[in-house]
Amino acid sequence: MLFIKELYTENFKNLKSAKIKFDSKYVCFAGNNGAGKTNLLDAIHYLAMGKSYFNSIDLQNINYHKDYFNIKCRIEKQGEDFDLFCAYVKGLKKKIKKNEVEYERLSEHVGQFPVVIVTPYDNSLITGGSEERRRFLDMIISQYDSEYLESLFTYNRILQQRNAQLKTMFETGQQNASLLGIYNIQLCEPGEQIYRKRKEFVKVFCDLTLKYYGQISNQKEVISLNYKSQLDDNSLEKQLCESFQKDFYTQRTNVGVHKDDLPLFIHHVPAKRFASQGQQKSYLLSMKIAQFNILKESTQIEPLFLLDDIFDRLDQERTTRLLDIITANGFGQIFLTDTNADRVKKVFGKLGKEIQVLNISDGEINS
Amino acid sequence: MEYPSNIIKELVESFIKLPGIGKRTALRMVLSLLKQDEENVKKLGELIIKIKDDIQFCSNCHTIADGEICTICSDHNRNHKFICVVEDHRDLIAIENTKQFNGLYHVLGGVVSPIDGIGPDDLTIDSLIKRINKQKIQELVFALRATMEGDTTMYYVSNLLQKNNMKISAISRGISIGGELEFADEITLGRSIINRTSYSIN
Repeated sequence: MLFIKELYTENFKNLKSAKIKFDSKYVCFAGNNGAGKTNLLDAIHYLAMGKSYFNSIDLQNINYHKDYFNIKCRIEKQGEDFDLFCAYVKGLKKKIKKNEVEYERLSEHVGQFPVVIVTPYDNSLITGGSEERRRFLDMIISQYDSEYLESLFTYNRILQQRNAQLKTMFETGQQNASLLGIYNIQLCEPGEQIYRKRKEFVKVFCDLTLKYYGQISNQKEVISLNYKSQLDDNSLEKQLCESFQKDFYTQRTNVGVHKDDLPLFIHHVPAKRFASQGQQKSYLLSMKIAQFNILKESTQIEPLFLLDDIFDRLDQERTTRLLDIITANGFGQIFLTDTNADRVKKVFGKLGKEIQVLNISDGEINS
Repeated sequence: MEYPSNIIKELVESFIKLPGIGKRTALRMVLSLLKQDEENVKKLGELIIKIKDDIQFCSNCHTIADGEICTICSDHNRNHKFICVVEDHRDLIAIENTKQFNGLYHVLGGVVSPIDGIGPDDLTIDSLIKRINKQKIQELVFALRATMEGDTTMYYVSNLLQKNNMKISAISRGISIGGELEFADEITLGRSIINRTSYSIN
């Protein structure tokens, strides 16, 4: 299990210099809007993943008027303590260190301290286009399967070349079917592999999501989600050949795994349009808990669980059931944020669990 | 930067256009020329003019040549039925330095990459096909970069030669000679295992 014992932030977003000691498995950052609750979660995410969950431009993650930020934590992993350190100075490369040793590559760090975060922004996973869900799948699978990541990279590169070639062909009016045929062949191997691995993953993922949705909604609602790909119908090579004329006129590749989706249904209608706000949030949480379990299975460590604005849009019953799930055995340290400290204390009191509540205002911790 | 002489300034600006040369290096080079013997500098100037006037590209393999045909293509001791396909002159020189190849070359001038605006017609692929048919070339080896674009180019050319029924191969990829396995990246090492070579003691 992972357990953060101490967190130190300096000039990270709106957070001033703050040193926090955690003595509980459950921690809540409470405070008003704009106090810096979410930024504390993001600081934890930064240390675990080497980047902000919200903003990839590090310059904008520095406190206004300052020139650098530092974040540090002491984290226990399977009984051993580690010191993690991230720093960014304006105009310099960001530094990430574990036990005072700097990493040469960020990828060496990612995955050592698994983390799952849920924020209100993630709602786009439910309401957004298929691209959001593909990115979500890709992010999880590539964390435990480097071969998948390589296929994805190759596939996208060939796709770019193929699209550029289609554009050139359209502009010059010359159809070079031979070169396009080569791209078709080259797309097939990584494409079929991505398809196979996504399908395999989604099978496990869907079962878990259904299970947790059932628990959160008290089995009152029926949801279904399934992996949908053009490759379900026919081989990629055949479809690419068939869509040649269409591709030529549209100047892009119309078939392939870059068109995959994971449509989400509730009572057999699209959740995107017909689910209520609370149902959407339940959906999102079920998917994230499923992600948690898959990540735990592959890393053999309970990831950190970061829940932003936990009471937002959920009714009291669902909130209680959610907390029942994530405070059960098999889950690790949890950090959550809420605007109301008393409410959190009360809910956890009912569950019979102790929670450490820290009050945040103006980017500072009030003890 | 301010210069006390316009000639110096223009020279510096010309040198900057060369790959890997910045302002400071360019200035050092120019000042060093100023110190050198007149004879040396004049010779350099003449050679620079000759590079455009006298150097041609071999009409057979497209590499750099002093005449119409390069020294490699006009060498009768080499195997004229065996061609090594390379991207540019530097790759040719690299392979030539290994002294392991006794055939002729063909310089493509790049690899197919529509993103960069390079299509098959921008390379010397046409000339290669004509050459193979005309000179009855028996074997081809591709020595292109180990990227997706290199592969595309290789597949494309091989595809055009399907009917020729000739021997086509590519240089092998994998662990470098004298290299430690632990330092090889995962992709290279993984491929090396998949494409392992058989080994037997006679």
